[in-house]
Amino acid sequence: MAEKTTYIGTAVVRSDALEKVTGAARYAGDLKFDRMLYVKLLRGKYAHARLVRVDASKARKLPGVKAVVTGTDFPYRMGLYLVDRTPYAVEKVRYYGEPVAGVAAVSPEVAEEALGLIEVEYEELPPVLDLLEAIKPGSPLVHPELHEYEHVPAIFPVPHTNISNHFKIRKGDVEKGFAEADLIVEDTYYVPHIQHSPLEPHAAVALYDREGKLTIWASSQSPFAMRKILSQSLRWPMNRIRVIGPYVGGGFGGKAGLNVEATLVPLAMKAVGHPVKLVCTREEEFRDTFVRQGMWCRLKTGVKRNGRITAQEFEMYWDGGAYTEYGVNVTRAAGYSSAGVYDIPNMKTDSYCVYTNKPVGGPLRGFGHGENHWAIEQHMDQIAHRLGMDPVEFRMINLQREGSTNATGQVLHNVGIGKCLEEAARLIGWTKVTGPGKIEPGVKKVRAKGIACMTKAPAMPNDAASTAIVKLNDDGTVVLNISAQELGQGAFTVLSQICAEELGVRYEDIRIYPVDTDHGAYEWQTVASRITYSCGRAVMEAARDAKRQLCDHASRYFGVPAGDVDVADGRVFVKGDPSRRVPVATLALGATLPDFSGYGGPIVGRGKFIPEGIVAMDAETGQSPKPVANWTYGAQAVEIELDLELGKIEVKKVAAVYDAGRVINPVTAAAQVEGGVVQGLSIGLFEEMKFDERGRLLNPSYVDYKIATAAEIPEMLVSFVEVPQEDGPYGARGIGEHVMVPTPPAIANALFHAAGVRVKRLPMTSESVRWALKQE
Amino acid sequence: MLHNIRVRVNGEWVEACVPSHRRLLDFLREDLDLIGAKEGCGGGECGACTVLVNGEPINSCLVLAVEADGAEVLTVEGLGDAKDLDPVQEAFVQNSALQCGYCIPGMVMSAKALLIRNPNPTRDEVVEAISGNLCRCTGYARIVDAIMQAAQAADAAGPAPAGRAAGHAPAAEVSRAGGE
Amino acid sequence: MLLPFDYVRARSREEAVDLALRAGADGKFLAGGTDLLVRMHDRQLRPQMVIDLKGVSGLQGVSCCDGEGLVIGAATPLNRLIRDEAVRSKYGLLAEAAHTVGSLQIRNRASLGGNISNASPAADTAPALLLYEAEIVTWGASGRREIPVGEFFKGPGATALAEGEFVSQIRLPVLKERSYGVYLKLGRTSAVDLAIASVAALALEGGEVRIALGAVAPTPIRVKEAEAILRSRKDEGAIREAAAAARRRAAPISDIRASKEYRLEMTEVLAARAIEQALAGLAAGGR
Ligand SMILES: Cc1cc2nc3c(=O)[nH]c(=O)nc-3n(C[C@H](O)[C@H](O)[C@H](O)COP(=O)(O)OP(=O)(O)OC[C@H]3O[C@@H](n4cnc5c(N)ncnc54)[C@H](O)[C@@H]3O)c2cc1C
Ligand code: FES
Ligand code: FES
Repeated sequence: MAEKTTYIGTAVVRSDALEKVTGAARYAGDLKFDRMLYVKLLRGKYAHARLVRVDASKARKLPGVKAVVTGTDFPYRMGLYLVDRTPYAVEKVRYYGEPVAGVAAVSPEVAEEALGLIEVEYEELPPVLDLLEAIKPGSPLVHPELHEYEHVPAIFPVPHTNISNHFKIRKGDVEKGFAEADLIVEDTYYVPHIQHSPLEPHAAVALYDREGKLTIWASSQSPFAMRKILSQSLRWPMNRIRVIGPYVGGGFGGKAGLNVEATLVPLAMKAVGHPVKLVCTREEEFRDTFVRQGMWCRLKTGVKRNGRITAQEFEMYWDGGAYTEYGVNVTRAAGYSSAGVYDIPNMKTDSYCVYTNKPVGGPLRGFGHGENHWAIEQHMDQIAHRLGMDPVEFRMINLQREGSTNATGQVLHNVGIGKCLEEAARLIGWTKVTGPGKIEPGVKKVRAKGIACMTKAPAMPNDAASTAIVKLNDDGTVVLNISAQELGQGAFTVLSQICAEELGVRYEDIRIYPVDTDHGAYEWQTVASRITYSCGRAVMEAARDAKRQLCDHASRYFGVPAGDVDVADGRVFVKGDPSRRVPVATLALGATLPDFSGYGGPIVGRGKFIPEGIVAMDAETGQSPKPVANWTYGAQAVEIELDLELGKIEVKKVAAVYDAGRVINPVTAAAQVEGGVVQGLSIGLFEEMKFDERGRLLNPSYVDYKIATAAEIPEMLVSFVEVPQEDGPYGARGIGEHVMVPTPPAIANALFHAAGVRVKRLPMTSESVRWALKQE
Repeated sequence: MLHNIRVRVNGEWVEACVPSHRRLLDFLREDLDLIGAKEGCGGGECGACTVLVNGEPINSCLVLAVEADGAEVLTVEGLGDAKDLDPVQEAFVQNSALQCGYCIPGMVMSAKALLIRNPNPTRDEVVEAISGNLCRCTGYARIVDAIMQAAQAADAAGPAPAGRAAGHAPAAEVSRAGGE
Repeated sequence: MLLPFDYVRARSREEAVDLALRAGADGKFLAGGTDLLVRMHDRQLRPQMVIDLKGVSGLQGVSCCDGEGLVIGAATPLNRLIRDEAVRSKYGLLAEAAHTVGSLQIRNRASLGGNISNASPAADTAPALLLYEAEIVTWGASGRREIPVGEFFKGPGATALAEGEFVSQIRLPVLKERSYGVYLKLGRTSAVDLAIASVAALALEGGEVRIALGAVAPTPIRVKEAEAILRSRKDEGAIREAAAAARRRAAPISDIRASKEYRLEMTEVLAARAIEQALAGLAAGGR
């Protein structure tokens, strides 16, 4: 069992709490500078059209307008995994709302007036709106130039088609597996486009100074990745680009990579010396920043009468939208996790990312797993039902366990899913169920339970690394220099806890400052639920390094061997001799020895981390002994009440259990789960981006894109299992995304138990449930 | 068209000249640098811009600055600072009732308004008071807990709290286990 | 951000009418602004002049004249209405319906006059006003008019108001009998949503049951056919028949919130429930 700790596993108060409850916390949109200009973007009016003429000459003449740019002024392609996207449309618009031109002016009013003066002539092209039509030969192409685009090696575009990535799993022999099966169950499932909808819309300020240096302040999960993408695309050295990241008002993946910030760069370069600021409207946030891709899939599973799964075939088609620079990797991640939490000997998976003339698909909390688990977890219940087995019992038979292999053939160890499932079932009060309950005539409301599992690994390149620097101030307080972003998940709190634990100082004495790529320690991105795990390890190492230096100073100061001193609670002391102790401050800048000579010097500890031993998956089979850094497992059970007449589902209770490896802060961890559960509930019941036949988004506002309000919250029972992650700090692994993945399928499974119907298309609105009930 | 207005903001009278189309939200954020109130939608749907006008919570994105002429406006900045938190703010801190924080100034103001009007709200009344404040991060449960606690703190003489109604586990249960 | 316009605070009814007539199509009345400013923010509307009615005399507050029912100033915010003792005790259905509008913040601004002048088919206070047989008092170029609420709504976004005319008061006639009203609104989320369908039912001591529907026709509508069925019988079968009659009267559209078919079905479900609950409420003592 873990050794005694001071801060690990402790519910310290969030380090950002005071700033946030007093309104002092600053977000990108709160920034204001002298000479600042306001940016508005002119957005395309067609889903797919050729730009025949873009004439901004009148706008340029409007008093107060300082810069106007169009696509041809800045035709650089950018992208994290596939370089397919320009900040402004060049030659063509590929989704309704794509930026066509940008204006920077002395006031937002003038900027908007200028937009009205820009003349655009379009030649409409046939829009590619139907995912399954888009993959047919002869479909119009969204990117005829796909074969020319640069991409990372892990991506497999199919030239001269709309398929920007085709990911494959070939494991065992599926034909043989299906031949061995007593029962084969096949079904299709669909998830629509949804939006992250953080409460803070994207906001950024960019300044291009006379020296030729670009500084961007952005609401971003990825300051370093943003710098990298810009540097690669513009062929600028990185030291000409600086990204500063204040607090982020919610990200959920939507603020990963490079987003609207890119549109500011050419404006800033034209308005030299003027910071140019863009704050997205809610409409722009919904339509013109990343969205979660829609996905249609077919899932076929063979199973023995005794409940053992023999084979699985899984085809997923992702509605990637107009640019899939980031979305291609979602497709990949959902492919390699396509076994879910199950041990399936024979597998064939094909996951296709498909271009359409829809908003740009990107990462959203769960990164493909909310989508594939929507199918997998309902499918498992369907099979259990067909076999006459209880869904928990059926899952138990097939769960991954010590020595199992997953879709990639990786042999698994320390698998916590069994414990999670057991605990979730216990918390909800699960009793054996083999099918829908009987509904007595006249009954208008029924209650039922459902359960679902999940697993996910961080989807990241193998060089996704973290660094940390621990600097001691003269007074013994500490600057923890890391570049993880505080998105609300509690990163600053947990990383401070780790630092305090290792260094022996008080948690309150540690400060983390906003990310600044010029001064900050390197961090890949705050995505993939990887910060506690990866940055946590870097902080651990940096704090240990600092402590070693402190103990070295102390050893000279006290004249004892370094092994005889220790640091705790902000004091450095000789072990076993409480009288010989000094505050950290005494030794922070070096030790003053008895003869008044100095020793050591200011303490700076450094640490770094990169997940080791990750092996690229085989291009044809997707097989790898270790394809990812780690897997986090979890299970959720729900209890719903269904109004049979209205079709309305009310989620009454949710039990959520995750294997966090080690819980660093029980309150922020539980809070993370609660937030995820409610987001999952919201996606399950309400959320869908709706488009008309011309590809226009019909609901770019909270009026018609509903998210859960306080009136929807269920009773939540949160619990953790701790099966340590070998290379995680204190055994910890990430849970941030995982917590919203199983909620929708768990609700769907409860719906089946309530009334014997399935809604295989998200969301489970009252209307869709009502129709399902009527068909029954 | 310009208007001379006098507004009492966080206890101090402010005189300003504003154009007709200036929203109260912009007046606070841009002219007075009170950035606590946030814009989350600009359409009355999210509540991030909630401030109190004459003691009642309103969406400052849907009020013109000129309409606030003569009014008393309270923003989160007028509530308390780090040294002297309002009991509502204190309860949010203690309950970890915040994540990204963007909705929080609006939430805190809605909570404050509720407790001014109704010092002993039921859980349902708390839910109603904040259902016009969207939060994408927290799942709301801790925010409701915090407001209930603030009410109890302010009403220490009143009856003992009736325990946590449908809500959530305060901190999670943890079971340590070896792998399978 | 809003785009520039001129704001004028009218001090009298005459001034309001005068300003509105002069501005013509470029002018808009402002009460709580929870609808107007949203449309301006979304760039659906761009009036050049916004005429604030909140300072016009007689437009604020609830007054109760003995034996005369209730007079509500058109610019009265819904929360004031909801908290008003006279409204709660005698016209509970209106308080209940108003309570379902938007959020607390919205109701602190949103006015009753604005709610009906909007003429949204889903305006939540409209079914209650229909059942209380309210009179809409207006002021315009030709002076004062009283329009029965049933004649006020002309279609989505269209009212009986003439150019330059505004609603000054809503008069609720006296209700001598005890009554009990129920307003059922089906939204997508449980709070802060527009109705997919809504039904108001008002059971009166004398045996009458009044029924009105929201969001399922071009205007809010009262369903006399359903009421007739319940005049003599109030058993389960009659309730079912009345609900079916309500469904027959409904003429909804399919939109982003729901399909026409779902709205039709929900009209029937909600109507049956509302009638049942109203009768039960009356039996339990009413208001
Ligand atoms: C977040 C949100 C939620 C909402 N939820 C609901 C809901 O659930 N149910 C619902 O019914 N509505 C809802 N609404 C719409 C709106 O709040 C209500 O219709 C409200 O009652 C409008 O009143 P107001 O005073 O704010 O109107 P304003 O915005 O001031 O005016 C609305 C319209 O009526 C005109 N007008 C206003 N007063 C008068 C008058 N006295 N005479 C003539 N014309 C006048 C204006 O010119 C304008 O065209 C919601 C709005 C928002 C922003
Ligand atoms: S910004 Fe005012 S309600 Fe959203
Ligand atoms: S804490 Fe992020 S929106 Fe509420």
